[in-house]
Amino acid sequence: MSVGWPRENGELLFVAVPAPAPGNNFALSIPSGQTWRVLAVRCDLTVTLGARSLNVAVADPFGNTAWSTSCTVTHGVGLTFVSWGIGLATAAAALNGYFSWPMPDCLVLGSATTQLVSLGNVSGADTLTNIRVLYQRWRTA
Amino acid sequence: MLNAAELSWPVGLLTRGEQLSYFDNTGSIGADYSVAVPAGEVWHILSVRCVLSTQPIVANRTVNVTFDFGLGIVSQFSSNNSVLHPAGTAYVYSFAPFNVQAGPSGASGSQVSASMPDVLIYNLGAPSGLRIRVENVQAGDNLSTVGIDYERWLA
Repeated sequence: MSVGWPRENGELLFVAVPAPAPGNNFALSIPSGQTWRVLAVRCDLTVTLGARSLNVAVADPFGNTAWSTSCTVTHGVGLTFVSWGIGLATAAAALNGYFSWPMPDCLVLGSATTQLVSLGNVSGADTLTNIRVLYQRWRTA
Repeated sequence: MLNAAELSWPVGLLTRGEQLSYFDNTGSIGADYSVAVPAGEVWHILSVRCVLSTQPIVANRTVNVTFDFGLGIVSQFSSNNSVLHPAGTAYVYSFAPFNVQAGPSGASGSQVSASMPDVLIYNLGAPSGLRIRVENVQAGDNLSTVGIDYERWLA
């Protein structure tokens, strides 16, 4: 469908995503009648055992994965700070547990089943907290 | 939702924001360098440049650009540079969206390029802004000659 992009009157929104239960990934619904451009995502990952990988992805209205990021390192036991952003050309792992990963610059058509999710092998008592999403939104209905 | 703003971006060239440059030769010593977005403004950060001169205190440092939304450090989005900056050296850092990380290199062996998110930051009541953050910063480490190019809209 036509979403009339680019055009004026988009909105810039900054939201906190509720932390999932320990050992689970997070999910943020993208409602019907809206088109999103996700600019950046961040969270704190606390790993309690082993090594984890963590990505973000969009599940499209048809239940498929529209896109997903691909990280290049694993997160060991402890607290790390993970950011994804459009415009990042390079994955980077800095000192003190800071990681950043590129993310596709795409428009996402909302639906009853569209979600922005994390894809990670989190388990046990691992936690994802302080999840924040910065995005632009256009209303298409 | 924590905060929101109506925008006119991205749109055609006729309604691009004002192109502005920020420069501060003073910088900060032993601490993050912060720039606040004034209330009611939306900024599109195009590039960030700074010089970090480290003291002889032995430690590796890394530099990143962090975008804050006024709700504590948990609200940050960071651009994390993997380059390990040793003691007693001066590197020139240039951050921009889509930069490929490179360096230190160049004629003086001190130029570092790194990418950062292509995001908008805004202040609608909560102090928001940009920080140049040095991990493992030591007393006397000097961040200077800070330059920021950005586009600005009034929300």
